[in-house]
Amino acid sequence: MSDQQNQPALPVATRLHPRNNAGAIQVIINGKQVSACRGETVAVALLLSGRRIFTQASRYNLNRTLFCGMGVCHQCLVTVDGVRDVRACMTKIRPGMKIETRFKMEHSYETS
Amino acid sequence: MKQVDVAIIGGGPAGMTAAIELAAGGAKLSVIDAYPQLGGHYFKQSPKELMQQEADVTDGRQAEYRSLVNAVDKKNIEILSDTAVWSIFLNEEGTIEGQNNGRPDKATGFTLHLQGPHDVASLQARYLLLAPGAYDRPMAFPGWHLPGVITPGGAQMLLKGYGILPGKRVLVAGSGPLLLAVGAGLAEAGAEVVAVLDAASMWDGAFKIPAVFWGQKERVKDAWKYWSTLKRKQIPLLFGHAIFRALGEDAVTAAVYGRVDAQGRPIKQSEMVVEVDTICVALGFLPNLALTRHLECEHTYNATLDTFYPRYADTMETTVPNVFVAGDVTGVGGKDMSKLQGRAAGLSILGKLGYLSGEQVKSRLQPLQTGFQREERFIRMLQDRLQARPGLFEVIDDDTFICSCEMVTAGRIKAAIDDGAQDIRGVKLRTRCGMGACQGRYCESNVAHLISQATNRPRETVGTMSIRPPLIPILAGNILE
Repeated sequence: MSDQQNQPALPVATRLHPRNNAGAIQVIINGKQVSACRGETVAVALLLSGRRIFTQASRYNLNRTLFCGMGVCHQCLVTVDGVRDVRACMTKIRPGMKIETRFKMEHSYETS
Repeated sequence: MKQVDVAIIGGGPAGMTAAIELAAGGAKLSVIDAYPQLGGHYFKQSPKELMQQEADVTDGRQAEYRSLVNAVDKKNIEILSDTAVWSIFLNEEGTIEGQNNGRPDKATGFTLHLQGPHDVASLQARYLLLAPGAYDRPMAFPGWHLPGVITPGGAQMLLKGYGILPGKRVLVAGSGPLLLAVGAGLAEAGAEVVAVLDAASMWDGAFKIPAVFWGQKERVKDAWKYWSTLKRKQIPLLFGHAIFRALGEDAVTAAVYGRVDAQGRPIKQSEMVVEVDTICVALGFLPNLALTRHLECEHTYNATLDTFYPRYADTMETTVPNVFVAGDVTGVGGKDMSKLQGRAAGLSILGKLGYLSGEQVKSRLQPLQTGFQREERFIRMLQDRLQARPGLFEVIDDDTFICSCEMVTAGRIKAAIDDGAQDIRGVKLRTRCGMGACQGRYCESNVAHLISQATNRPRETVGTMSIRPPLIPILAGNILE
């Protein structure tokens, strides 16, 4: 997999309406400032910044991202302001919020 | 601790209707909703900050939503939005002080633990009304774990809630009426929808039930609108078709689909490959049973839909006293059924609280019967279209992920069964399947099918996943508080 963390590909997801500049805020995704819109969720900000993959698990290189979009499937878990396992689809962004994707899942019980 | 007569969980059509009924009757209540705006998935609303312009009042659905919201506003009902319930405990006897018909009264009630932006970490309620709705039933097939595969509900959420087009070239597949709406919605918004596939045949259910469309003007109008959009955009709507595989390395790049027989078995010769960046797929809905299971309500199994539902009486009360249900958690009823059930539950609780006499409750429930009958006819038709098609599972191969949280493949589940696992518990102990963050919400239906097929036992005997608090991942600090 390419270094998705630093060089997001062109976003597959797109905004339908021009962004309302009055609501523009900055969040920090993997250490880089990204412009987003007040009211959006972490998942929306990540998708619009070009990240299709939110987390990569160590086993099978399973890529996780937004799936159900409504807080049920827990596939979009990311780290927000240092707190692990936050549902990206259910968490609203705040100015200056630090969002981290792609931590390696550490499953200590996995020996195989 | 804050005390209310009733805590309503879920602010969709069922929860809103119940709240209006209860507040009108004099009950003190809180509505706890997971989203920024009331309305649930049916009336999916944007967060306030993202609203583009004034709502379109010519849109019947928006008008209906506005009238519900206005009624909620007028009654000064407390809404705890963006809030999740992570556990509920039964209180000790006589914990909650309240009024019963004007007289001071003590009740047992429940303590709810909440996570959200409001200053309410917990809440005590004499009665619970659970209206948590339903979510998309996942369909497992090779490649369904790839980024780019999303549920139709998720696509609707992005589209209607946030004004986001999830993909550029999209395949919509599965079964159920939502597919038509999602396909049309995505196409209207500018996506290239390559096809909409429904595993059901075109006429499943339509003519078997007499007068099924009687009184369903709104549904017929909606279906017509979606269908004409697909027609105008020349998007094929293919019945008796399903997705077989998703292809791609890091994310979806193509989909393989084809015809299926009445049982859902894939017809290999009809296979087609189509390049897409997004696949929206689900087999109807699963009721959100996290709360009813957590509270240990009894559930019954519906074999047609292959789903469990909480058991409830005509009053909408479950087998756990003072816990009521309404809306899609009781079945795939849709908006009108949800509103009827919300009203019925609200009236029953008002009766229990002493705001209405038994006679009054009875006489107000009576006029709802025609509506219930009309909706039940329609639901029987929907059940036909959404019925479980075991053949759809034939596309699953050994490398297909069943539990994405714990990364368990179908092959490992089969190995666990060979090793002696007879039920969900046995598979869980051997593979950790269902022990991840989603607590089995997204793998249970698929695991259960694999086990029941391999062991030749009926689905309802192979067990269920157990959901325990915290119902969502929370900080340990919140538990200590």
